Amino acid sequence: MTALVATDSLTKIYPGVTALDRCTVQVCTGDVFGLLGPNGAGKTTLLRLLLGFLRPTSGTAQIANLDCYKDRVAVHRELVYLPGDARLFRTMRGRQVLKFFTQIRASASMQQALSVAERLELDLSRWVGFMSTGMRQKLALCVCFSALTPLIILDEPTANLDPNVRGEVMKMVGEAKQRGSTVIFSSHVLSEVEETCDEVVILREGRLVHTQSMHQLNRQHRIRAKIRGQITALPDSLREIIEIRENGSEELYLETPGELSPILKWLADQPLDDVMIQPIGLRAVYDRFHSDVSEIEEV
Amino acid sequence: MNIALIKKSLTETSILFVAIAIGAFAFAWFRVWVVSELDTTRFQQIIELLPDDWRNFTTVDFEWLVSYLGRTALTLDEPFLIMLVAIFAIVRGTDVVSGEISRGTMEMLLSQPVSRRQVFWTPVVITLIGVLLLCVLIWLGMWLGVSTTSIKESVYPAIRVPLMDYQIPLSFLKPKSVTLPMAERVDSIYFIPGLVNLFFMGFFLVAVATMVSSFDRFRWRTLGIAIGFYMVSAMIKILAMASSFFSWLSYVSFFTCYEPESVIQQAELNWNSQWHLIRYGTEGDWIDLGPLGYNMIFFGLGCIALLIAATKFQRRDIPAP
Repeated sequence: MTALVATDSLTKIYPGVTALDRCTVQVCTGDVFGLLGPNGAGKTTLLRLLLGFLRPTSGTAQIANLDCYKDRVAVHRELVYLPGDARLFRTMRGRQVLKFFTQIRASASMQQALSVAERLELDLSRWVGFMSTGMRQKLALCVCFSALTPLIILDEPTANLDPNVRGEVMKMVGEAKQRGSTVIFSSHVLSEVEETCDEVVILREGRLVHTQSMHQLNRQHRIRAKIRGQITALPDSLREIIEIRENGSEELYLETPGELSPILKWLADQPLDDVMIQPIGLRAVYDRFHSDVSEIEEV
Repeated sequence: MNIALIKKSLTETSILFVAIAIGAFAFAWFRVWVVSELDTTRFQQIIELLPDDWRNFTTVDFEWLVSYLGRTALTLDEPFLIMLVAIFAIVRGTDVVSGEISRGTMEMLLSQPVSRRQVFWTPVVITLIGVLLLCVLIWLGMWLGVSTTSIKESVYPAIRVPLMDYQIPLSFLKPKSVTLPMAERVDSIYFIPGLVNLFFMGFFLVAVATMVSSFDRFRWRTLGIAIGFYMVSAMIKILAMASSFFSWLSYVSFFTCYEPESVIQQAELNWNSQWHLIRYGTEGDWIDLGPLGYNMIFFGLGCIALLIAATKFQRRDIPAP
């Protein structure tokens, strides 16, 4: 699949702070791409560089083969963006805001915006200045989903929303994927990322520390069991890919990198009790890099 | 230009504009009416008693200044009126970049397929049109004041010299009071050069406020800097006029180029003087800048400030709210 978004050694340095350090990512067309990391990891900086709000210190960022900084107007025709802290014109009513944004973008539709507002149960007659944070977030989502663009960038789209609306928003992300749009979103909610993303990157202190294919992760499992006798050695075909960790002589722990069936045959012949097989899950992957800093919500 | 951006900018400007427009129009009318209430001839004796140093405070003759045209022209030198125009220019100018950034709306705006050039120039142009309309309304207020008020003048009885179109006033007789429309003494057309000068000063202030705004991210700080610049310029001008020792300071205050009564006087003497960059004396010696000179300084400095502002905004990082 071709890459819709590509960055190459993208770096942003502020005086005394490296907000993003030589970040290279590729997002394939049609994928849902997740950004994970604690506050200050560089997620928002990466998104803002993609939007051309910031001038890169070095490196390049391209969307649809257009330079994100130099060709930003053309780039913005290809995408819609939801900021982490969506602020809209306080002196307008909800409906006026939608009208403004659907007028400014030729590809946006007021009808589409209204249907999203209905879906999110948003009162559009209210002044933005009198809206709660959650309502403003919903309004910004209406603006976002009023246009059908190849790329949707969402910075913490479900922050400030109640669980019902969160679910609705994730459905909308899924629908956008179905239509063939590419979605990039950052979130602190691991379950959302796990459910919707095709690929996830983990950032730490401005550096991209891990890229994880969700398809691959879903095939990975960890197995725990109590040992009640002498276990036989792993067959050669599995030894290279599976690591056995024995905690003392009573417990067996192993992680499978992919297909589960070969290991199941071996397990069946072992003297084991209380065998537990679990998908590894994003939490475990995330904790490998951020076990000391945990701002992630697991729902 | 983008229609949605124009509408947004008009909406944001409208309340402030209406409030200031009403104030400026009413003040201009009222100020002209106040002139009609005082007989000009009474000022003549006061002027003769004023020390010569006081002449430093104006670039025109005191004798002209106490005429009806001079006194109505002083409307454009009233701090209240200048401040109304300055408030509009500074409040709207400072909002162009740092206002949107402070409110956090810049990111949503710039994530749309509109160029930074459009986002920058739309409010700037709307504000400049607002300044122009304010000047037109001030002129209308003054014209209405001149057209609707009458003045009283003390006139000595005179005898007419036969066969000659000449009258000799009999000053030993008791003067009599006559009432006549102010329009007979004041032609409102002469206010236009003064208002052109006011517009160019407004243009300059919009440009300076916009330039400060394009460098900053906090609206309150931008406002503080722009208002501080205005106040310091005003104080420098007063200091330069009050003391000959500090007269050189007048070159660092933009108020030096704001001389509405001077350009109005020159227009009365010679309408074509509006196009003079420099005023020369009868012997060809340099006296002062001409009306066009004042306006071109405002325009030139304003254009430079706008150019700097536009370039800065085009290249700057947009901070997160």
